[in-house]
Amino acid sequence: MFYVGKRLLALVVLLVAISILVFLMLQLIPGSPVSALLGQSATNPAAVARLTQELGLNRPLPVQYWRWLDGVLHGNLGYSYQNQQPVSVLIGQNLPSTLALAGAGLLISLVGGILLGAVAAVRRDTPADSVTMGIAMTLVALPSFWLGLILILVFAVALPVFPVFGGSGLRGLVLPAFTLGLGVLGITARFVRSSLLEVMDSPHVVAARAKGLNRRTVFLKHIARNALLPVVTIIGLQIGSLLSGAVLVEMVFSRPGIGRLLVQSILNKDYATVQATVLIIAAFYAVTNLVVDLLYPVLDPRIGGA
Amino acid sequence: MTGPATEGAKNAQSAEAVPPVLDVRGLHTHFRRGRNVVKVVRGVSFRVGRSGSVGLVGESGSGKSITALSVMGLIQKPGFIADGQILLDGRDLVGMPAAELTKLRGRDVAMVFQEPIAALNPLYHIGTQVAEAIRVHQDLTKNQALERARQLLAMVGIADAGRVLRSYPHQLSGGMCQRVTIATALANDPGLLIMDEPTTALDTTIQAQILDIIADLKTRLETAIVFVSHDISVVTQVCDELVVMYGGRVMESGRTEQVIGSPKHPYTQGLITAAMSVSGGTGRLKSIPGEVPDPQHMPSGCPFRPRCPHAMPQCAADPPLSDLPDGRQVACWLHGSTTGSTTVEEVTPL
Amino acid sequence: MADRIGEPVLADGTLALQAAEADVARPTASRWRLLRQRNFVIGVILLAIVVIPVLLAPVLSPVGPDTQNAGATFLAPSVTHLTSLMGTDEFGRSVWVRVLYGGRYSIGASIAVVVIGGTAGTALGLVAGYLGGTVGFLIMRVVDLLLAFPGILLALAVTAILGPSLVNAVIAVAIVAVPLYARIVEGAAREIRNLPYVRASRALGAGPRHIIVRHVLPGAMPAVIVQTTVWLGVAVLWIAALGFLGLGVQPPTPEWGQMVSDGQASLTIAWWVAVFPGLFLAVFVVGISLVGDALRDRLNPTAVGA
Repeated sequence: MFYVGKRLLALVVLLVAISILVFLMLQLIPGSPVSALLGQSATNPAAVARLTQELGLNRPLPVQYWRWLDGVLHGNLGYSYQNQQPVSVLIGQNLPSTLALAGAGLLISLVGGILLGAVAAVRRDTPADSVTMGIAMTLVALPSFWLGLILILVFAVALPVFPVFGGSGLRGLVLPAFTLGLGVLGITARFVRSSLLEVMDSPHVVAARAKGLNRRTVFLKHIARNALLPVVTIIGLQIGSLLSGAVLVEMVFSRPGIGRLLVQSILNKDYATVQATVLIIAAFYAVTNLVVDLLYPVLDPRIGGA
Repeated sequence: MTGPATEGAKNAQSAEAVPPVLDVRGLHTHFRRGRNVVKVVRGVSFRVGRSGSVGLVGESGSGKSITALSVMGLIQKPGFIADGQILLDGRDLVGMPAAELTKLRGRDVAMVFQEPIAALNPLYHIGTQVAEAIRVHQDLTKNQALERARQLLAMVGIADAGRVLRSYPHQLSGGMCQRVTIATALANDPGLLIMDEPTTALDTTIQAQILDIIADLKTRLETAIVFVSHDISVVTQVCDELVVMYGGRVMESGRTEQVIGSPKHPYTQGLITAAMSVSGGTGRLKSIPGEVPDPQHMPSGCPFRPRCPHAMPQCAADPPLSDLPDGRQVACWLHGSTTGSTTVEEVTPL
Repeated sequence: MADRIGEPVLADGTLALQAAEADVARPTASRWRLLRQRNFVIGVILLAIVVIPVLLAPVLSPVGPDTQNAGATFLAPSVTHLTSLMGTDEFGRSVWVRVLYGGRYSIGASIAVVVIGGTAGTALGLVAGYLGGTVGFLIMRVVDLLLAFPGILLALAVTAILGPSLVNAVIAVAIVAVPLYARIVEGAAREIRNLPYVRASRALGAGPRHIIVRHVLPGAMPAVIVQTTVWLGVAVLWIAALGFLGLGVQPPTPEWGQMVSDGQASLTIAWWVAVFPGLFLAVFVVGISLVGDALRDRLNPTAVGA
């Protein structure tokens, strides 16, 4: 219980710190925050006055922060004048698509990474090992936006299997998900391989074989389960890479999502949306890491015990 | 332990009538390293009779652990058994299909390892792991297996068996875990129990407890024991017979009182002297000068030659393991093919 | 497939053996090292393929990177002429020449990132690790906060504040590099500070500057070097990513990422405009990864596997 409590507290502190940093972002933009938020409409004195009042810009900074945070916690993420919509609506529209993309990417990276890593470990020091790890390393090094274009060229242009841009539903998800997942897959594969090797060499595996268990049982019950445990630790990191990569992938495939929203807002100088999007993504990442952290005691009896 | 030639009259008939549980003949276990082949076990032979207890003694690098693993059929790539026979109840394990070997393990021959906590899977309860060993070979339900596990734990002196069964390995002490692994090994009444340095990783007091348990089991059960250790004083407490190994070969073997009382091989003499200097008296600790040979660069001839105080030109040729009239075996030119020669004193100070 | 005891079978659990015998049973250690060395050579070759032409850009360019040729737009690659080795883009500019000059911007920017970010991060880590106490604690908490933002998110936020340009992109990516360097150096510094011979040195009256320069810095060097090789690859990818998104280099300045973005619009009719810059980028990053891997192996002999 202490394990959980400690981590929840740490999360809250982190979220507060993130929110402070994001809040300060707006202050750092050249010019006043008001003109930043209003953008084109900054010439309208009535709008300026109203926004100034709303933000309480005549008040000290901590008060402004408090008011902003209060708004955020009640669902008010600001207003995008460029899009003529509350930012919360924009995010609500775009978030599901990104989550679907990241989820599919995670699935691909896990399945592919585990398979590749397992092949390399079971056939260690054979050509199969070198080839799979070579593939893994190459995948990590490939720029995702370029990989996306290559995949489009091959699977959408040369072989018209998938739609080139946009594309809704499952078919439209395939190429972007693969683009996103393949890069992360490389990291997972290398990690799975080393984790498996470590477990395969451990005494309890020899002892299991000494009991007369057949190879399949030993692998499933005594190797795989022990080796996949550390993989959970990197899932949190993978999600970070996936969120980060989603930005690029959504731009390559013109796919709606938080990432594309963020980039377009930056280009449009829609700072309200930028601020809110950064906050949401960072918060989401922090919460996800906590969830992964909370999984350990469930999976590994050695951790967080009484 | 009986030599193939002469016997004490009493045992002559029984020797023929009851085959040994384990008969290792000329075992050669090698490891591939790059282009080379490293010969770790280079022609080891010994026998273990029913309810016998044989100690496999030697320093690290002598090949004793690899011998034990070979008997269990646990040698895998890059290791392989290059030659020899391992007769378990008369059946040769070398060349046996893996499926059959798997059936034998845990049922006819079982093993206890050096690191007790590490030999258990940290993610499963003790009960699950002991029950697993039982259910591989016996058709019992989970509850029946757990009940049997409870009995086994009691047999090795664990008072609160229920609590232990519900625990995870990391929650128990090393001594407790070793009792568990011993109990697991005995779960299916194996004819042969191999113990590879079972007390080396434990504190001395716990060591004594475990040795007591083993001695107790020895008298109560019919299971034969092979006890592998580098510590000759530990082995003598448990085993009726000793096999001294060095450089992948057997140097000397015989009944414990014979080998300890009047060691023939210079290496055995050195081991005993060193052990005695640790356990008693003052003054410098006695050790055998020199180092254990590297299996990759094994000198030709007798492996102990570089460190032997009695080395002769003859020792450039590998001395065969020959029988002595009292039923022992020695691989040393000092006791060559001439029977009954005792040109060397029983214990030579080194 | 009947496995027999005498024949090599799949490895599992073999290596749980005692020390001396274990050394015999691990013959693959040397083989793996040779593999690593071969990877190093391949990495260097790949790097050379990219870096040498980039360095020799003026020599290998018949025309300038901005030279337009209205009559030669979207020419397919042909080996007849150096100019059209990689085809031309929508303005008739030589893709080959632009890739070479673009490399100077991409690689140059990543070097700048590593130098700036690495120096700042190392300095910060040294201070935090050596001083410890409240100062060290605060510095590391700020580092943790920065690391709470996944991947490219922080860099995007910074470009949002500073505005799109190559310089700002370099600053943005450098800001992400700083906490990573700081964390690694801080850990090393903390460890080294407590080593017996360092404590002896302090007891003898050696000043902090002396200790840091003579003991802490050299001790932290291997970690810094490894991190730098990793970051040269990461930085060039992220600079290119920002360029791809339009947040880095502004046209017409060539930069690999930005060129890929240019080529995306004409992907279906002139694939070479987007593919070649990305290809050079990929080869460079793969090369750096291989070299970095081999270096890591050399400097960290105890690290096994991936």
